[in-house]
Amino acid sequence: MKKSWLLAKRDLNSLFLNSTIAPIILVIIYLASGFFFYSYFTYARVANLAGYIPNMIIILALTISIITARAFIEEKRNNTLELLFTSPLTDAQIYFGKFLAYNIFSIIMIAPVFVYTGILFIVGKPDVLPLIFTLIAYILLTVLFTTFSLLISYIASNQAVAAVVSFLVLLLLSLVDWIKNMVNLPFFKNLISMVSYSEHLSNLSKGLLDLNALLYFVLFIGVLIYINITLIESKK
Amino acid sequence: MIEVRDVSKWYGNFQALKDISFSINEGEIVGFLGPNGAGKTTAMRIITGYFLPNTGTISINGISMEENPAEAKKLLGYLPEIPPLYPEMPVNEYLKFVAELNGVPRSNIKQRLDFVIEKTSLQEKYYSKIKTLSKGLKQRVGIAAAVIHDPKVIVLDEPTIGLDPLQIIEIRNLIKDIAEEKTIILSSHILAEVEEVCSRVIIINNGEIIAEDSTENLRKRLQPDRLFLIKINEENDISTIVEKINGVISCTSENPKEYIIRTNDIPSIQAVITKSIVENGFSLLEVKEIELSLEEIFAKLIKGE
Repeated sequence: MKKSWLLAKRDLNSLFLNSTIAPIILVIIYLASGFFFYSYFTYARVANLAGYIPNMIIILALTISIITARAFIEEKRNNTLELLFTSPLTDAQIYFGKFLAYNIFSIIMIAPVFVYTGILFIVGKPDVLPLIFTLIAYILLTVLFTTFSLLISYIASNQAVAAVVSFLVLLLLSLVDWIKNMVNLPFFKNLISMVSYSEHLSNLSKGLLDLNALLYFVLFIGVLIYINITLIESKK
Repeated sequence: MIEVRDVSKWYGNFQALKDISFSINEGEIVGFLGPNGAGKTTAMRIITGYFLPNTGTISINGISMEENPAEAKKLLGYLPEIPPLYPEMPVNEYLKFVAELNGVPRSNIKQRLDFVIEKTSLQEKYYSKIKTLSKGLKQRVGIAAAVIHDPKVIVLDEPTIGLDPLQIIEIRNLIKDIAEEKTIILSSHILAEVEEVCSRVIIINNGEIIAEDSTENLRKRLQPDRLFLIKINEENDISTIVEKINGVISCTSENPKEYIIRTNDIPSIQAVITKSIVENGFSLLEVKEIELSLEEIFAKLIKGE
């Protein structure tokens, strides 16, 4: 863990102090985030995040894809994977260094939501349970997106390709629920229900302690981590 | 110190290393020599644990790379062909990061950092971002990073490739300087470099070790006779005089003033030849022993002569 944190610290330093794209992305997502919260809150006048989060998902998928694409690509470009793989580190330590760094950055990207939650409590009387579950779901979704983008970044050999592929797949994952209503085959309907997070997200925002939903996120993230570490190991 | 046993490595259908075995003793400086694509880099990547071999074993100081990679890697410092540098980091921060990666205790980092900075003469570039450095300086940062944790074994893959002649001399001197009490493996296709720095060479071609010896012995093996170039001032034929000397095999001339003399490997033969030429009344302008260059040795070995 100490070694992973060492790697993560270096990545975060490089993101915040030495990249131009990271601050720009933060400004964009903070502006969008403020806009969506303000318009939903003043229009609907309901003290919850149910209308805010679905609006954020596409832009979140985009920004995470752009930022996380550099995770492994940058190391490949600098030839520094050779440094990491020949240092006394395990493949899992190397992976979790990236996992920590880029998830911390993603959480910073969604950080305004915590401020908005505070505002809801100040100006209104929100239902506590749905709000907390919504926040948990939002964080899990962010981690899921980031973990997925990391995997693409490891497989791809070019940053732009990694960002585009990652965004398209996350977009598909977010919109797949719509397709469900268009197909009539029960097999596909079931498959889509299994893959899609929309239902889980909406259950949690209603304040239902949906264990299936939590399991969905944890399992999905776990499988992505497993695949990524296995790929790193097999490359040797 | 380093034991490599029956190591093979496949990339898909291509076999990059074919059952190679060798061992390197503590304190040796060994050169890996071979044409491009011979398997040098693959061999180094396997020694350093970047790749695992398909078959065979590697151990560093008795620690198996397969069973205990973290401990084995601690003993190694590695400079790949392209130095693995983070361009946006300042030199001091990068070296500190590498030291921490390799588990140098926090209390020792400052001391090690000062030591490698001084060895590699990077004092003036201490706070410079790596991307602003020249190729030679980057190479020095790479070497500093490879030795910052005071490893027992240092592996350098083509350390002077792409540098200008002055930088090459600098880096070679630096390698000799850090070589004290270390075991060093160095790959190169510049043969003079290996000859100058290394005590032993391992020649690889097509994934196989085709020779393993000191440069001196290799030369003796491939060139059992001695060759001398002799220039005289007169245009008289000296071959009849020279061929009478015991130990001389042949004497041929390209032009009337220049002769190539082939002799058996007798230590005093040069003195005997020059004496006899002078005693016969000729003015001797030049005597030079012709040694097979490593390039020629190399070409001979690869052709299987």
